[in-house]
Amino acid sequence: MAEAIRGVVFDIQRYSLHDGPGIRTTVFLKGCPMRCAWCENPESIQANPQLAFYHNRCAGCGTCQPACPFQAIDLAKPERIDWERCNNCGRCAEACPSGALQLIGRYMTVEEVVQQVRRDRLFYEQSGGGVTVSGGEPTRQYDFLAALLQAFKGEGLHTVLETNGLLAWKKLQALTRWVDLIYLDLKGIDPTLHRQQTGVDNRLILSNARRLMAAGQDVVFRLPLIPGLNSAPHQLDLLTRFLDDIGAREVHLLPYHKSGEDKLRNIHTSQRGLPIPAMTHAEAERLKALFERSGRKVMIGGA
Amino acid sequence: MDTQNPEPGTAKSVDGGAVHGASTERTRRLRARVMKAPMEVSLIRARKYTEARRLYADKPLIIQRALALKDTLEATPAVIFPDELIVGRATEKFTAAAVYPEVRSEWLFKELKAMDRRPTHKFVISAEEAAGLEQIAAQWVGNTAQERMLENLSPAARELREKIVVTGDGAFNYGLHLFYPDLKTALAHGLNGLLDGARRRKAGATEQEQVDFYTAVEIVLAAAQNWILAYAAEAERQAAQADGERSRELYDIARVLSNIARRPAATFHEGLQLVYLLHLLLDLADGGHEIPYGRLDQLLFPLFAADMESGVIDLARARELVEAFYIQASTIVHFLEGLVALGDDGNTGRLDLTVGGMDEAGQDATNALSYLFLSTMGQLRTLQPNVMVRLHRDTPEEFLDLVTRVLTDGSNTIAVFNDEVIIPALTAAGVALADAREYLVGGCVSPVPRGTYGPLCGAHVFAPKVLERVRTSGTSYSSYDAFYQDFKAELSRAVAMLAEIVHAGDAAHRDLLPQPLVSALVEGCLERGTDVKTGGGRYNLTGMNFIGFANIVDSLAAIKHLVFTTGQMTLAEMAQAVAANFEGHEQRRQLMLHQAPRFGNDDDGVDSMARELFDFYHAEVTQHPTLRGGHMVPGIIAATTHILGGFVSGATPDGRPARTPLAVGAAPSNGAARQGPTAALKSVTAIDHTKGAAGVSVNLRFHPSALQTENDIQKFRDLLRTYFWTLGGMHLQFSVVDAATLRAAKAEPEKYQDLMVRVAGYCARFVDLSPMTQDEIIARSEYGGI
Repeated sequence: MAEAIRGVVFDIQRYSLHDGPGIRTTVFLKGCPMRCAWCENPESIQANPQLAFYHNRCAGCGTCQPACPFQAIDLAKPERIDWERCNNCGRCAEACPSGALQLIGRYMTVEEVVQQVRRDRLFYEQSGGGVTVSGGEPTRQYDFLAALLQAFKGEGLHTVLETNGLLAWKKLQALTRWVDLIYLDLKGIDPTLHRQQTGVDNRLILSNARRLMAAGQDVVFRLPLIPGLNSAPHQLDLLTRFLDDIGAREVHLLPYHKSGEDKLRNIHTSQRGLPIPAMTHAEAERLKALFERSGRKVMIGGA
Repeated sequence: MDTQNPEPGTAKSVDGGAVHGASTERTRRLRARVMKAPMEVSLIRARKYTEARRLYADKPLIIQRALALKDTLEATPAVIFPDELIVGRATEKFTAAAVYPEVRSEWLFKELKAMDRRPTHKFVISAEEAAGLEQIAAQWVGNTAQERMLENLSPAARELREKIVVTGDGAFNYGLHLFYPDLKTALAHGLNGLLDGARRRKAGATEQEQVDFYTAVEIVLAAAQNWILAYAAEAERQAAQADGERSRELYDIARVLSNIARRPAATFHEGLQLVYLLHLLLDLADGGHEIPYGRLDQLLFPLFAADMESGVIDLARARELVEAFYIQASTIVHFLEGLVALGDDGNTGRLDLTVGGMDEAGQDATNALSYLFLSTMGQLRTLQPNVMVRLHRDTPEEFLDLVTRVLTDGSNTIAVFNDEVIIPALTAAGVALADAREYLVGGCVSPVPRGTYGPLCGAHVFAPKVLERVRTSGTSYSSYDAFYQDFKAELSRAVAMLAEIVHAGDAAHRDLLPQPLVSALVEGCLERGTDVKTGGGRYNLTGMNFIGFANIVDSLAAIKHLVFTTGQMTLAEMAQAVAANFEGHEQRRQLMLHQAPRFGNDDDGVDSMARELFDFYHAEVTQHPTLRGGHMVPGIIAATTHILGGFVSGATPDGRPARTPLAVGAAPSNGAARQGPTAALKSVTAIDHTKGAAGVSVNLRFHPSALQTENDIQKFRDLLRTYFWTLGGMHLQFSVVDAATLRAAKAEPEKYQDLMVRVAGYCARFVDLSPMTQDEIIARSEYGGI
């Protein structure tokens, strides 16, 4: 029963502008198998709900301390949390009056998510929008994701699935019956570099990309461009050749930016910021020209 | 951006960091001068109206006042400044306000001494002028309309007024400002036509009062004609001294003026000039700082179309004339008392021009002038007039496209209004369908039906003060419902007291400030032979405005949730925290801010409380008649009265500290809307906007980064469409925030919780971002070129 399945959702964002056509709500599912050093949503990687501390909202009232069953809160420490002791139970977040402590991610049923998404239906209808499921990597919660997509389709909503494509073809193929448009991330073609930079092999991703195109699925390819990591000329050459080869018609370039970096201090993670500057608009424009061929639609940022 | 791209040959100037498009060098010069001009006062009107009391003491008051206006006009020299195409001033100076001591005078003593300390609207007044004004003011003490109003108040009403729980004093800043000037008749029949009409009716009048009324109208119309002719003579005098092109131009101006002094406007230029001069005259006579221009795209279109057809003007010339009109309109200022000025912060007169919408038969009336007026404002960005755009389901896509672009280009200059909601709201308030369809927008956001004389935004209930009276009454409550019943009873009482104050104000206006010139230009008065202040107009509504709506809804929700549902604090503990302005009670304040549900998040529970509250307020307000034969109508509008209302209010149980601004109009409290614009608009339309005939105003604030691409703009347009056509929203004002606001948001995040920015491919609340990213976005908006 779909109602019985629960998933970990870390955000439901309304009026989401760059995750598909029209006015959309984006549902972010928690958990990701990749470990990209440039990740802009580091709080999405861990599969389970996790505690975050937002220093600038803390009133210093100390309500959290007695609420913690594990004595994991030290008001004298700027980061407050002793991550060795914390088990992410979230009691402190419940007690915190100002929202400085928050549990990122909560268990939701399909119906609970659908209820939220349904609230902007009038806006979707006016704008040709709908719902986007993103992450993390949403396919990590496969059964929940499938039930969600099916429920969205049951509501008559336009659906976008944003994925890294790292799952068995049969499983991906099974999802496509409830998906109008796939946003597929491609981080690079060279398998060695891909493994170094993301921690996973890319062969499955590339073959899935090829098969989706062959199956006539609507796919937009999203390419994070990270200077010094995946944007050297020969790497881009491999990328464009691959896109030509599979007949990719639409590409979004996502130039490296630093906005995910400062989230790192709010959570417990081993990820560190990259010692490289954000990509300039001029540089992104220059790279854009490389991808614009054979009538392909290319844009910087999402839409 | 595309909308910033001027036509070829466009001159641009940079001031205040923004780039403004003027279509000609002349416009650029005119604009630069008006932006720099200091605000001054003129004593002529005050002196003449004061002298008239003595000179014409034996005459009926209405004639005395007509002669006062005549003497003022005769004493005011015609002034035409270099480059001007549309000419005229209500005073002898470049940018000066007349003074209206007969309305209220005591404030001048205090104000003139503290001019430097005013937080806004700083006027330059010489010591000699200040002394002169004090002398004049002294002669009115005890005899002003405001004092008359106060004399007639019951002790209970006086108490609520003094404690600033309610105020009806908008009627004394100065005229009963909002009315629907019948410029259509003036344009079509000319001043001669109006004068003939008054004379004809006078001949048939039987009552002495009517004869006096028509005599007064004759006096002011003839005086207006002479004043315009004096301008024609001045134009001719300057023409004789000027060279070449300017000389020819001044002779043209002289011809325009001498024609419209008597006859109907024959060209677009004449039409604009007549409209402008009539506005100045109404302003000088009545003193209202919110006299609307009305639907100029409709009124002037026949003249514009004929001129274009015959080749008298081309589009470039038409545009230059509109620019000249906008710049001239920006020289009009009003000298307001300090606290009142705070309620109109940054704008010394909301002079509204309405474009677009449907005609009286319900057909789309958008025309080429609607585009011209709108696009000119989008590029020129003058302080006046306020361009108000009417939209309906059949508004052409192309026009909606232009509207969306001007709304989103960062100019923050226009507001949009929904015919589909406003017209039913007006008919529900008793207005005939054709008059409702011809509504114009006046004041900050009030729909004014054709034939109206009435202050739709001059009377306010400061609701936090009402709530305070209940909270501090000492009564203990066993349930939320019991508390809410008492709040409603107190609100009902405040409305009744405000009705009494409004009646006393209307009576003072009727008895002391008859207004023949305004009467000549409001439909109904000439037919009836009755002054507007006595109810000569066809519609006589008065607005009662609810200030601090979201603060009250959030406060009620906090009381219900924290006190009666979760029991996180008692009512006494809450009262303690609020009374201490949260000092030593930060934890309780955080609970109010973060644990209680808040209006603006598409939360059915709170939203239904909001709906019920406004339904109740509507029922209370509409049962009170006005003295002029209409009735009261509710509104939830703000201008910047929310700042004033906040300044005089203590802390509130929604976590808002004392003296800080209240929520703007019907919008969620600053910082309360955490689910983005779709959720905020759904909450806001949980209130029935067709019950807010005096206006329901909603502001949205976006960062330019959320409107960068063509796609973003299309999505915004769909947001607007859904809000108007599906959800039934009445009004939307949209601001695209600048770097200064972002810096303030960084410094005081809790006031800017609803500020949306685009970070990189996604939207975020600005306050959620780290200082680093915030700095990055601040830098981006400064260099990004919106």
